[in-house]
Amino acid sequence: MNYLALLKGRTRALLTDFSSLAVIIIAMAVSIYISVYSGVENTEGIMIEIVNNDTGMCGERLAEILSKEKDYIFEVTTHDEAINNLAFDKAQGIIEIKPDFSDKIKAGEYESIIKITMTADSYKMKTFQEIVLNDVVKVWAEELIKNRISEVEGASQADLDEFMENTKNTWSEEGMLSIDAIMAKGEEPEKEETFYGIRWYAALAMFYLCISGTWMCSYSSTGLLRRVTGKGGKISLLFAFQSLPGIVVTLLGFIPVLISSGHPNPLKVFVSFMIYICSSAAVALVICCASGKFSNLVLISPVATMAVSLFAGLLCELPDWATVWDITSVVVPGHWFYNAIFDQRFFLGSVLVFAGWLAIGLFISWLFSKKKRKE
Amino acid sequence: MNPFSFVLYDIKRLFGHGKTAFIAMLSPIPVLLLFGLFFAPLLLDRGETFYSIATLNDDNSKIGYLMNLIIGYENTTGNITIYPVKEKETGIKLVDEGKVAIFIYVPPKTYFDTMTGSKAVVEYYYSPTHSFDALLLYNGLNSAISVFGQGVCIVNEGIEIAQRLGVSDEEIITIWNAGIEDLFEIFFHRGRIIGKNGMFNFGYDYHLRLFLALLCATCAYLSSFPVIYLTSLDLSETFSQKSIPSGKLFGFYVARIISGAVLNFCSFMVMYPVARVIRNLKIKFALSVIPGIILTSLAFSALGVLIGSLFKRGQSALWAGLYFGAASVSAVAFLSDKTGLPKIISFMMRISPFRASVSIISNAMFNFVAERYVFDLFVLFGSFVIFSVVGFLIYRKRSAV
Repeated sequence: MNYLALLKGRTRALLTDFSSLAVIIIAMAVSIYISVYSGVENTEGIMIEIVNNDTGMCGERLAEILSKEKDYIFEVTTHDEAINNLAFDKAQGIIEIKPDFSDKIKAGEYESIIKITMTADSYKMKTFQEIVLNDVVKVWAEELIKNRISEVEGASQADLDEFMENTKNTWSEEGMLSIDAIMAKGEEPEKEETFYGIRWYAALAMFYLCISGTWMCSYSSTGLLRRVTGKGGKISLLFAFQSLPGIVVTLLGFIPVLISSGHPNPLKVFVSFMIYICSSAAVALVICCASGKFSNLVLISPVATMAVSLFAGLLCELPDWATVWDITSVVVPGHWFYNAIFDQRFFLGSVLVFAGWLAIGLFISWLFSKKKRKE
Repeated sequence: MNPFSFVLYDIKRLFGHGKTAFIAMLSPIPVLLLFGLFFAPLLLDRGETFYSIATLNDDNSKIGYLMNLIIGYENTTGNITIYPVKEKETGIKLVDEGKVAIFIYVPPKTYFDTMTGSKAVVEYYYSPTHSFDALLLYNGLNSAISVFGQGVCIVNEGIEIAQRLGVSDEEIITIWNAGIEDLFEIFFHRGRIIGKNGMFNFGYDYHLRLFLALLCATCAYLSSFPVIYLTSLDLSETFSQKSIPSGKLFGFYVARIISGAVLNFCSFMVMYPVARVIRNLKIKFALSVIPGIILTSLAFSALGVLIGSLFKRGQSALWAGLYFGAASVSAVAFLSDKTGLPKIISFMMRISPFRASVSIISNAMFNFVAERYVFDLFVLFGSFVIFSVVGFLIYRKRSAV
């Protein structure tokens, strides 16, 4: 059996298959983008429409205070325009200031003075209502104290202006009272760097190995596995030579991602990624064997890759409660790669996991080829 | 062959084509379960007591009064169960042991420090097992308390001006007390500003609903992959070799769209019980989104047939479907709340059937805005018509009519 010829053929096939190669190129681009821009603050925000029906001046003041909120862009408009913008997905929320807003606030009342309509189009909407309520309270508090000052004998417009000028700074400063959140059993130190670029690349690289592994799927009479085993070739060597080009491609793609991430220990991460990607190739062997054909593989690959990467904590941090996940995820390669990124022990665990997945993959592959041969 | 037989025949072909259709239909289940597992503590608590909170007020002043009132009100609504403790260590221990989710500790002199211009800090201990929901409550509480602290500064600003105007000390105290009382008053009943009761609107889980809607739409889109593959295969093998009358070809085309829509719809139906388990989705919600789901199924199926018709090789068609899906999902997940996008991208986002589908599901779960719902239905219907017409033109061209 000429395994070198297989290697050459596979390399040629991989480099000319632009459909699958695009996956790794996109993975690189996304990961580098995350690495470079994750620290840059996003200054854009969600569009919120303000319908100011207030007959007095407090509505305007509310709009002014709201306009200083981060994450949101507030636009004062008419009711019809606001509804249209919400319907046509140009805005995500409407704040309707009622006509008696100023009257009620000046009278010290606050019952039903605004109406909020919002859509669930963004993750950021969860804090929106809180912000609006707080800003109404600010306007209400300003008016309250203004009233109190104006009741004082000798108070002039200049005093009121001075008060309004001072309040502008107060709302942007820290208050006299706050709450500290403390996680029980000791606060976990916040990770300074998340290295999401490296982590997402690892997840996408596994997807690439799965989706480009169609050679592992077919057991038909023309299928490679069938032909090789028919000629007395060894599945393990076939797997090694056929997987190598894919592994090399993902490793080459990893280099710019690693450089752009600015990881303090790139050599260690690179070594762990090498072991991780070999293990991922073994996982891909299992997935491809189970899929059987490309139309199944294209459905199973995204789901399986997402599940394994999520489980390992590569896609996002595991929830704090999930100790049981953390323990059981030792069986997936991503767990050890994650450990290596955050300077924890990984070598022995990752090698054992690689050996385990390779054994499972080869066994399943052998089992499937035997089953198909019988058919 | 009557039209019904066409459809039945195609459904048999689609479901009989190996295990692909069944994988497509059932693959959402592990995805949704994984999602449910990720947010398990939050989702499992739903419908019962939202938070169990231990409290200790070492400051018998109004700050403690405020804290008690905030939590006390929510206690009456059943959102919170309070366990007063006598020592700080006991409260922390209860959180450590997972017996309560949160422990709120008001240290001595908190009120005095706040009112005399020194910074005061209330301690909020939470259990790691409830960190997600505990931090949601924390965000609301922190935001409200911070503004209260700033409100105290505003009262002080007013007092300084009053002092400069020569107001007597006795009157100053009266003004100050009245200001603080009023601040307490509005904070106790913040919800009334928007016509509701209490301080907070519990259930700030729009992000969970958006995730859930995104997953449902993604899974439904994935389930149209067998349609893509089979259409491409039909056109490159069966239809390219036999001459088929135009009318019959139209029958095959319509049957494929309908059978694809049935597969997509089944996928949604499979997802509903799982979603109901993890998010307690009411049957009323399911009924309200049925028109949206039917149109989504039709639009995704027509899109699948269009993509399948465009490519000669089944694999290339699947790749195209995968890339189109990935781009659509990413756009909805990462760009839908961006305002500074180029006009063409904003427009594409607005008319995206994928966005419309996510919008219908997530908004029906949260806040039914009729105008948005109608617009999203219109987008889905428009997409269905466009994909169907363009798809048929290509389908006809590629087959040997």
